Amino acid sequence: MENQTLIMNRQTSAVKFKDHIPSDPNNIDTVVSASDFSVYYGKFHAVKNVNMSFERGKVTAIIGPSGCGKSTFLRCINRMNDLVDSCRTTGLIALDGVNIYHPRLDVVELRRRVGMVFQRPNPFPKSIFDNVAYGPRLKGVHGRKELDEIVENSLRRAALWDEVKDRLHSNALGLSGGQQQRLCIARALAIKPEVLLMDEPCSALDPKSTSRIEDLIAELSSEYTIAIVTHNMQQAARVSDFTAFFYEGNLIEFGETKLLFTNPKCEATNDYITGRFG
Amino acid sequence: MSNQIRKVLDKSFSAAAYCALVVMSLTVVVFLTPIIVNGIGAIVFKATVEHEKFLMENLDREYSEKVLQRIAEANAAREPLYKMMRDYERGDSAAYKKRLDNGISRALAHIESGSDKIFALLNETSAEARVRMAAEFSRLAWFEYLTELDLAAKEARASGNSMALAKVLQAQEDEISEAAKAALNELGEKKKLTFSQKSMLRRAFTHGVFEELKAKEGELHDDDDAYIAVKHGIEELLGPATQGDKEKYKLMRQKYGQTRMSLAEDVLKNSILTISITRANAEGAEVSQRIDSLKFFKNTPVEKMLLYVEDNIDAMLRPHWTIYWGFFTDNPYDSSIFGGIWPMILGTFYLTAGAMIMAAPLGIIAAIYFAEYAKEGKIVGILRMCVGTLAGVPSIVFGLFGLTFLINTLHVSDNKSVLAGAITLALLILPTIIRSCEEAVKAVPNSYREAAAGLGAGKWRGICSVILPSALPSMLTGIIISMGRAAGETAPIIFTAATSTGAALAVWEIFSQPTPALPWNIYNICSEHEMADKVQHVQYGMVLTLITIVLALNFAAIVIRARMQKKLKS
Repeated sequence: MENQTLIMNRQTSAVKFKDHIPSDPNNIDTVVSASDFSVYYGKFHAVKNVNMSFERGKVTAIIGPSGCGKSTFLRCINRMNDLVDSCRTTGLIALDGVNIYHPRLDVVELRRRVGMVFQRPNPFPKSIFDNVAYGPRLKGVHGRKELDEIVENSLRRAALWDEVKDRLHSNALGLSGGQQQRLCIARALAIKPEVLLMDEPCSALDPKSTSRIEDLIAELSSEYTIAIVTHNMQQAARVSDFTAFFYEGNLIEFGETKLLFTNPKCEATNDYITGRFG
Repeated sequence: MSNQIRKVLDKSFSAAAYCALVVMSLTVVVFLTPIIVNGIGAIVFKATVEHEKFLMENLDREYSEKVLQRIAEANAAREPLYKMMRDYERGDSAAYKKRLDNGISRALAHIESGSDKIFALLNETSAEARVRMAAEFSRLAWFEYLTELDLAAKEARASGNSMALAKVLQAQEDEISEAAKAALNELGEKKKLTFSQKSMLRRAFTHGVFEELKAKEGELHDDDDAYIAVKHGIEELLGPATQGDKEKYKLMRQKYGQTRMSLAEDVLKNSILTISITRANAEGAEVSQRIDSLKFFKNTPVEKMLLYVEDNIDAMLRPHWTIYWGFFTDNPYDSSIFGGIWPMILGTFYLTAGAMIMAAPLGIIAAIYFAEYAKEGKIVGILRMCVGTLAGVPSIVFGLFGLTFLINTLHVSDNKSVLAGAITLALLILPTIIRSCEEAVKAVPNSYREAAAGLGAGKWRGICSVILPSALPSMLTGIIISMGRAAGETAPIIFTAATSTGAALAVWEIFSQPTPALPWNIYNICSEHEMADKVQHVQYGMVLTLITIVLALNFAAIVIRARMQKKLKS
């Protein structure tokens, strides 16, 4: 039953977004897909019937003015919205064909597969090592050697290793903002997720740190499916393969980044990317 | 508003704030200075040899040759005084007895011979006549006896034999009245008096002679009482004179003199140089009077004793500065007049620790429930209200609750016990702990929760691994401050755990035994103690100890908070 829904879901999304999807339809490999997905905060309809999909190994950017529901939508992909009491969802989000809102789904397992990096760097008040090892330890990895390896790998991939290798056991809060954010990325990578959600990861950082993170995103995109919410249209243009434009809870336009920025189909998208509002 | 006014307003606010600060710090100084100064006086003070005797004999303290020598010297200095006292008390009464016996027989002879005048007076019935008759009676009949008595009294005072004479008089009182009754009866028979005339005659005797005799005896007794008061004062100052006297007494305070020089000086001033004796006033009621003993005993041997004590008090007590750490580690003896406050300190520790062991985990768990799990609803609202109400309940009510519910209903122990007290204290501080811990948990940034959840931590894991460690510093602060409150609370333990006297408890006794504890014993020793003046140093010492404990706990809270926050930050 579930599989059927998911298969249907795949087909519909493929059909729906046919226009926006790169030339060869056989290459399509959808990791996450949303269909008729809505989010309500109490009575407020925050995300309205969104249908979109995220392709494996690609960076998908979500842009839009403040309060348009883009962060809300992103958080729904690993069910972080569960932490908000008044939040309610309808419709479907599927991860590899499995409905993540199924009542029997293990949220903990979902979040291990869908990692998240938040707007503000939020390392735990622990050592750098413990921060990165937090996720693996939860999974039951306790061997010293194994942990060392995971921590080093994650930090290397987050391009932080060289800066912190001598002070792995000092407090993470002593790092600079940019370093902290990269540490958060390393922490998310340590549990080897399939999808990495980034909720405006650079909004609290200076331009230099921002560019480092952007480089990092480019490097990571070969291995991970990345969804990034950003306010910064240049950033979206620089780092993403696909871009979705949200406005007042609606998905207005979704397509290849180059196309969307050079040749938007909708009036609203055009207005937004040319800076007429937002 | 003009710039000028704004500036003035700003300045007046700062001025008011500075004023408040100054007032507060002055209050602290005024409040703490006497406590600290007097409290230290409990440990560092001018001790007398009696202090060392007490320690050696009761607490098995080893003392050096030097101390033993000091005691020997003090004893030597006391010997002349004891000799004076022995001499005074020995007083020979045989001579007085003989003289006064003589006086009685001579007086009786006079009554025989000179009764005519008296008889003439008997026929008059007016009150005035009776007075005249009484005067006549003593002038004629008892004159010689009374003169003899006067002389004897003067002599006795001068030689310090008032006591001996008073004893003779007491013995003679009956003798005289028996003899007089017989003589008067005989007289009445001889002169054939009517019944009323006989009784008038007897009354005349009572008014004229017996009153005077009584007054004289009273005077002598005053001497005696005053001397006894002085003697008591000296015993209070120096302890019993002999080993035999020492064994006679039961209370520790009667076995030793003053252990502190300051108290010894008080005793000298208030119990030796001034004394209080009971005298009959004009209406015949007994009243206590304070008298200056040097004036009272002028030109008597007692004066010499008083002067000796006044001049040689240092030699007899050998005061010297000492530090008595045993104040914290010794048991109290004889209602805290001797010894230290160890059981109170230990009792406070048991009660506080017991309360914390119960209240802290419960409080933390409840706080986590309220902050992390509880969905705001009716039941949680009621629970919150309960916590709030509980926090506002007066502590004495908790004490009563402990007595009626824990002891009388649940029978956690047969009577007061540390356990019952600790439970009561735990209930008392629980709301505060819940509140401060809830605040601490709520103060943990939400981003930590999100980060933990985002990494695949379940709620419980997230709480244990991230939220609790982050909230711990502020939790500890709240808990330690509550601990200070538990240590200082008096009312809840009055009914449930506190006893005014008692030895230090062993750990297994806390389930069944009550304990002394600092806050309650401070109250007890200040207001219920029979000799509150004599234990002022203990009062201050206890207050200082309690304040030190509470302040140290608060200080520890500050340090822990600062250190852990530093550790969390960088």
